[in-house]
Amino acid sequence: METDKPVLLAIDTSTEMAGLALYDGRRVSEVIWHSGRNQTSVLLGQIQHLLSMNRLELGQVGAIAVAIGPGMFNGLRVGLSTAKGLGYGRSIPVYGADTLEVTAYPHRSSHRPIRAFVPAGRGRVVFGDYRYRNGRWVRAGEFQNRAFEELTSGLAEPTLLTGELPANAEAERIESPNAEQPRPSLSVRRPGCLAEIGWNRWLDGEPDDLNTLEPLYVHSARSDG
Amino acid sequence: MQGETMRILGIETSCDETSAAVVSDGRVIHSNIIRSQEDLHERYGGVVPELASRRHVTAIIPTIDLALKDAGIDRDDIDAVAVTEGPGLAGSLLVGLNTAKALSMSWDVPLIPVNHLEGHIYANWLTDSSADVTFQPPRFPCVCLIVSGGHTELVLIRDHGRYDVLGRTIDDAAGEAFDKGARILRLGFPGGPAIQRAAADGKMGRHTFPRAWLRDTYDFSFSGLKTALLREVEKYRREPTRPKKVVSTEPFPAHEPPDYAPNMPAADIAADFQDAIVDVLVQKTAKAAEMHRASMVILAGGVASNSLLRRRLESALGVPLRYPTPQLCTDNGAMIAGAGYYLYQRGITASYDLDISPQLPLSTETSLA
Ligand SMILES: [Zn+2]
Repeated sequence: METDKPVLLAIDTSTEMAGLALYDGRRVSEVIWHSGRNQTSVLLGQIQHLLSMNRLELGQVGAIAVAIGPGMFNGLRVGLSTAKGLGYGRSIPVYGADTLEVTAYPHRSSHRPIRAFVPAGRGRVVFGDYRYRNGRWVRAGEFQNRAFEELTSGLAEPTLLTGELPANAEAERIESPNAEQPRPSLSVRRPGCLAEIGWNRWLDGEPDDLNTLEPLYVHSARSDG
Repeated sequence: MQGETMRILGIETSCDETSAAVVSDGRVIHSNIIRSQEDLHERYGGVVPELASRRHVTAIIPTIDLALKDAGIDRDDIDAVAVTEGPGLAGSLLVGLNTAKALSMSWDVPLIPVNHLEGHIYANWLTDSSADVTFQPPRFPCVCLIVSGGHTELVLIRDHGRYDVLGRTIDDAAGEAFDKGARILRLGFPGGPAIQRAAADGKMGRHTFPRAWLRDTYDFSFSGLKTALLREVEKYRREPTRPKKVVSTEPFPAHEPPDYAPNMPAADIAADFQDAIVDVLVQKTAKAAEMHRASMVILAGGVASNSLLRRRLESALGVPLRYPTPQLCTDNGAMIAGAGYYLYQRGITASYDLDISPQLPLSTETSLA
């Protein structure tokens, strides 16, 4: 990816699957790995690795996109702190994008309803419903923080169910009459999608304010202290 | 860098203060920005880890930005970034450490990992003014009492980086005991200053509190004090006239302490409660200083600001006592930048795989680079 133009670096540590991407507006280069809770010790090394594989230097990164959740709180803090540190340190804009939007992004061409989900720890998932309405994708309703067993609750029509299964999920497939689940290779959250979302925002101008940008915290409706 | 000034940006987020500072040569403070979260945790009577971590995420960049601006130092003139790696709250440490690593990479300067406790110790090596020619660093060997909301440790320091932890708390930290006491007495948060203020109006000697001496050790125990305090205030407990609503939809509900009859002598109780904590701290510290022939005793940590502790220690010790200014006793970035300088002098830097260490003990580095 040799280029004179600045590239965008995408950082996603929302869950135990971490991902990075570089994007120059035409070509995406990605790395996705199962990091567990080990994001802090691995992330900068992977950024250096991805840059050097593409014969790029940090100085050529002109913008950052970062996934802001929902997801694992500590994982999100790793990505956001790194993105903010690089954004401030290099004086480049940072764009936060919602992790469920990134999850749903590659399936938008199907025009079928999508339920995108991320593991939220302790056997829970956070999901969001997306619908294609009048030529555009919109989120239907609020994000839900539920027990993993309730992931398919309220599905009234055939829906594409996509996302990362929680670490404790027994089966690889979710059995429900209205749930259609892509193969694992197509369910994985792609940092390249985050890069595209971030790129479009970069073209539009307004970056996020590093003093206020924070994770999306989605709590369960019932208080459990 | 021999002979040249070394300017270090220090970052501290181990608990509930977001702080950043610029210090040169481990001695002169150019800026020290501390964003306290006291307002956030006050209603809980203690630090709520998840809330603290959240606040760090939004506070970290403005704090660093202000530290650089306040110092009047261009970011190109920062020679290294020092950051707390532990001990502390995991979610809080993550914010400072990952930001520091990203800055180190952005500016291509060394990253220095600092033990939070070592930071507290090195607050005694700092001064606000480069013109202060009378400033003398502490002399070795010295005994340091680190007392804060998270820690109570008695340390013998033989030289830079050479620590023997003589004793530590086996349960609550001294500052935590103050926090819990103030909460039970409904005096506010943080507990140390609140108890000290109340005790100033109280009469000592009317209530007895136990001292856990743990003979023949330099260890401390403060959890029994809380139990004793609860027993003491039980006499004045008053049931609320109408039952309180207990259903809460908040993600972080606060648990309210009971109501007390108006005749409860909170100030008197606070005075004896404070006396019980200070008494043990003073006796053990004085004994350690004598046994190890310390040339001085230094204090560190938030409770080092307690004036009864200072007064009692001064009269109990045969050697000089010194302590940092109140601002440098609390968690702050300057102490991290200060300790970072001495670590760097000993060749200690970190690579980008540095992770947080929430349980990191204070110890002499055995594997020098
Ligand atoms: Zn501290």
